[in-house]
Amino acid sequence: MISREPEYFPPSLNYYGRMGRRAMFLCRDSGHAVLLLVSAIANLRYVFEKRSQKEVFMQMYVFGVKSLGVITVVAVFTGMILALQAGLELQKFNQQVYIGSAVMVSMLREMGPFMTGLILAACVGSAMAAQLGTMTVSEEVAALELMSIDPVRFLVMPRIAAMAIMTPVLAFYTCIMGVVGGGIVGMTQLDVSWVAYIENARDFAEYKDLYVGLFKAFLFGVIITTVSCHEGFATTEGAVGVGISTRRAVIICFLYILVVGYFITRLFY
Amino acid sequence: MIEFRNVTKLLGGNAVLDNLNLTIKQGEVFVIVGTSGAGKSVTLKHMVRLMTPDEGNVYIKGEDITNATGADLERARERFGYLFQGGALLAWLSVMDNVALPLREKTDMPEDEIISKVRKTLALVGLEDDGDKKPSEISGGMQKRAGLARAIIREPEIILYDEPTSGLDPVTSRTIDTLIDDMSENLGVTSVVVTHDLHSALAIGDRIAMLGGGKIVELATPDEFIVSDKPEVQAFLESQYITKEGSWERKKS
Amino acid sequence: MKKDWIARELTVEVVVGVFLAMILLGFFYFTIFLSGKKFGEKKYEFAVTFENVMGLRETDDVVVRGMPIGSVKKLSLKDNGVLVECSLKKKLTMKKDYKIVIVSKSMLGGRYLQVYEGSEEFPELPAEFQLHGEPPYDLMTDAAELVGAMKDGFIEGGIIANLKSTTEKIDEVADRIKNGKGTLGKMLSDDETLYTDLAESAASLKKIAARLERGEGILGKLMSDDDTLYAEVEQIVKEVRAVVDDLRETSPIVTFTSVFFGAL
Repeated sequence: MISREPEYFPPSLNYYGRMGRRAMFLCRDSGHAVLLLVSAIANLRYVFEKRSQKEVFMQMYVFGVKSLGVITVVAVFTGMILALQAGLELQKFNQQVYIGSAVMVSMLREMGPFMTGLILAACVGSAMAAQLGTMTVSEEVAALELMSIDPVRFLVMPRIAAMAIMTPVLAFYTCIMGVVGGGIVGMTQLDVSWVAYIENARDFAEYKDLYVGLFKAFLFGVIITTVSCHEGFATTEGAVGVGISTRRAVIICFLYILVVGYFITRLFY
Repeated sequence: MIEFRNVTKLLGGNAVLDNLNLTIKQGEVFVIVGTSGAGKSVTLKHMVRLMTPDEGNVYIKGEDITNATGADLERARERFGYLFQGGALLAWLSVMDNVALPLREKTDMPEDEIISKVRKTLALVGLEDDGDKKPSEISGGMQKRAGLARAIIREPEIILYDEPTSGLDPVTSRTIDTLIDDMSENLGVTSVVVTHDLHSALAIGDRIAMLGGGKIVELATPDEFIVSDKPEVQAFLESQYITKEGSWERKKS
Repeated sequence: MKKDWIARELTVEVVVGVFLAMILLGFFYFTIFLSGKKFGEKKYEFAVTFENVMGLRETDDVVVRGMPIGSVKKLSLKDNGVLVECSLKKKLTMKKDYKIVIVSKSMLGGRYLQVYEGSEEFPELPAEFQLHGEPPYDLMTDAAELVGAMKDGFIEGGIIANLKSTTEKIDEVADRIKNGKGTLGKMLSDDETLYTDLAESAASLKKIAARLERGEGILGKLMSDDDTLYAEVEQIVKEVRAVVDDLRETSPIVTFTSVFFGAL
C-alpha cells in the first residue's frame, strides 16, 4: 500500500521517548524505502512491455537528456579545477604532463560518478520527489490504487529503470567532459600539449577504474530514485509537505551518495 | 450494498468516526452532508479501503473488505468508480489518455475499441472536444467531469463522489448535479455523494445522512430532511438559506 | 484484528529498516576499523622485533622480493626494542639467514618492511622463532649526516671564506674583461652577454654563500624544503657551465669548486 493513512501518535512524555520514536521512524522509513525498491525490482519484469518501455524512454529523456546542459558545465569545470590544482603542484617538479593521469583517474574513479550523482540528486531527485509528492497530495496516487494500477509498477519502476541506465551513461559523459576540461587547462595554463595529455591519461587509466566508477554511478541512480520516490509517497499536508519531502529527498540522496561512494571505493581499492 | 458496522476511526487522536452504522441500498443516490471535519470523506475512503477502520467492519455486497488484500481488494475496488475532489487526473497525460488509462492498464480491449469507448464516455460528460488537452489546460469543472468520465469508464456498480461541486460556480455545479442524476437514472448505479452543498444534496439525493461528531445525526429523504427538527440540521439548513417554509422543488421526477 | 494488520505492516518495515541500518553499520566497521582487510581472506600473523623502527607506521607495506604481500598491523614498544606485528596474505617460511630491514620508500618519506626469507640451503626456522630485524639503515639519514659533515667542513675549513674571495675574484675578472685588459679580456670584451652572465653568476654565488653560512644548506633541506635555493643552485650551475666551457662534471659541488679553483 503506497498511499498511507495519516498517522497520529500521542505526544511522548520525555526526551528518551522522543528519541526512541525518532529512531523507530527512521528505521521504518528506511525500511519502507527498501521495500519500495524491492517491489520495484520485482516489477522490473514488466519493463519489456510496450507501455512500460514508452514510459522508461520518456523518463530517460526527461532525466538524462535534459540534465545534459548542467552536467556538461559542471563536468568541464571539475576537470579544469582538478587539472589546475594538480598542475600547479606538479609544475614545481616540471611534471605537468601528469595532470592527464590525475584528471583521468580521479574523474573515472571518484569525481565522475560523484558529480553526476550530486547533480542528478539535486535536479532529478528533487523533481521526482516534488512530482510524486504533489501526486500523493492531490490524491492521484490514491486514484491509481483505486484503479488497481500499482503505483510502484506505474511510477517507480520506470524511473528506477531509467535512472539505472542513464546515471552510468551520464557519469561516463561527465568523465569525458572532465578530461576535456582538464586538457583545456593543460594546454592554455600549464604548457601541456593535448597529445601528451591524452597519452598520459590513457597510460594510467585502467578498465577497473571505469567499471567501478560506472557501478558506483549505477548504485547512485538507484539510490536517488528510491529515496526520492519514497519521500514523494510519504508526503503529507499539502504544498508545505511537498517542500519538506523535496528537501529531505535531496539531503538524504547527498548523504547516501557520499557514504556509499566511500564504501564502494573502499571495497574495490 | 454497502454496510458499515460499528466502524470507529481515530485520526489525530480524535474519533472521526465513532461507532458508525450505515447501510446504503442498491441503486439509490445516498448523500452524506456535514460540516468540514465531520468525517464525510473519511467515510467514503473506508468504502474503498483507502482507510482501514480501527474497529468495526465494512461490507460490500456482504463481503468483508476490512482485511482484504491483493486480489480480493482489487476485486472489491473494481466495483467502484471514485470521483476525487480535484479530479486526480494525471498531469502528464491528455484527458483522453487519462480516461483511457483504466482500460489500457486493466483490460485486454483493443486500442480502437478503447478509443471509441472513451469518446462515448467523454461525450456523456460533455467533453467530446477536449480529449486532446492536458488537465492543466481545462477548467476545474471540466477536470471534475473528466475525472467522472474516468470513474465510470469501466462501468462500476457504485460511484463515489467526493465533493463533486466544491469550488465550482453554481451553474457548473448544477451541470454536475444533472450528470450525477443521469448516471443513476441511465446506468442504474448506486451513488454515494459527499458534499456540503445542500442545494445539490436535496436536488439529487434519495436519502440524505448528516454526519456530526463521527455519528449520524439525521438520516432522511430530502423532504423529511428539510423539516427535521434536529438543531444541527436546522443550523445547517439556515446557513445555506434553505427554510422549511420556502418552496423547495425537486428537479428529480 | 484490523490493528494486527497495520501492526504487521509496520513491523515488516521497521525490521527491514533495522536490517538496513545494520548493513550500513557493518560496512562502516569493515571499511573504517578493519582497514586493509578483505572479506573471507586468510591472514597470516608475522612478528618481528627491531631496535629502532625509523618511523615505520601501521598500515605500511610488507614487501617480499619486491612484491607487497601484507601490511604492518601493530607497533608496540618493548623493553629493548619495538615489536612489529604484521598481517600477511601469504605464509612465509623463514630460513636461518633471513634478513628483515626497514627501507625508505622515497626521499619524500614513507617506509616499508623488506623481508628476505633466506636461501634454500639453510635450515628452516621453527614457527615460534622470534624474528629479529636488522639495525636501521637509512639512506636519507646517512645523506643528512654526510651533508652535515660537509657543512661543518664548509664553515670550519674556510670554504665559505674561499667562496667569498673567489666571488671577489670573479668581480675583478669581470672588471678586467670589461676594461679589455689581458688577452682573454681582449678576446671577450666584444661579447657583452658573456660578461653579464659572469657578473650575475657572481651575484648569485654571493647569495648562496651567505645562505650556506646561515646554515640553510643541508642537502635534505635543499631537496625537499627549500625549492628556491635548490633551483637557484641548479640555475647557477647551468650558467656557469655555459660560461666555462671545460667543466663537464655533473655534481654541483664539484662544479662550484671547479669554477672557483680550476678555471680561474
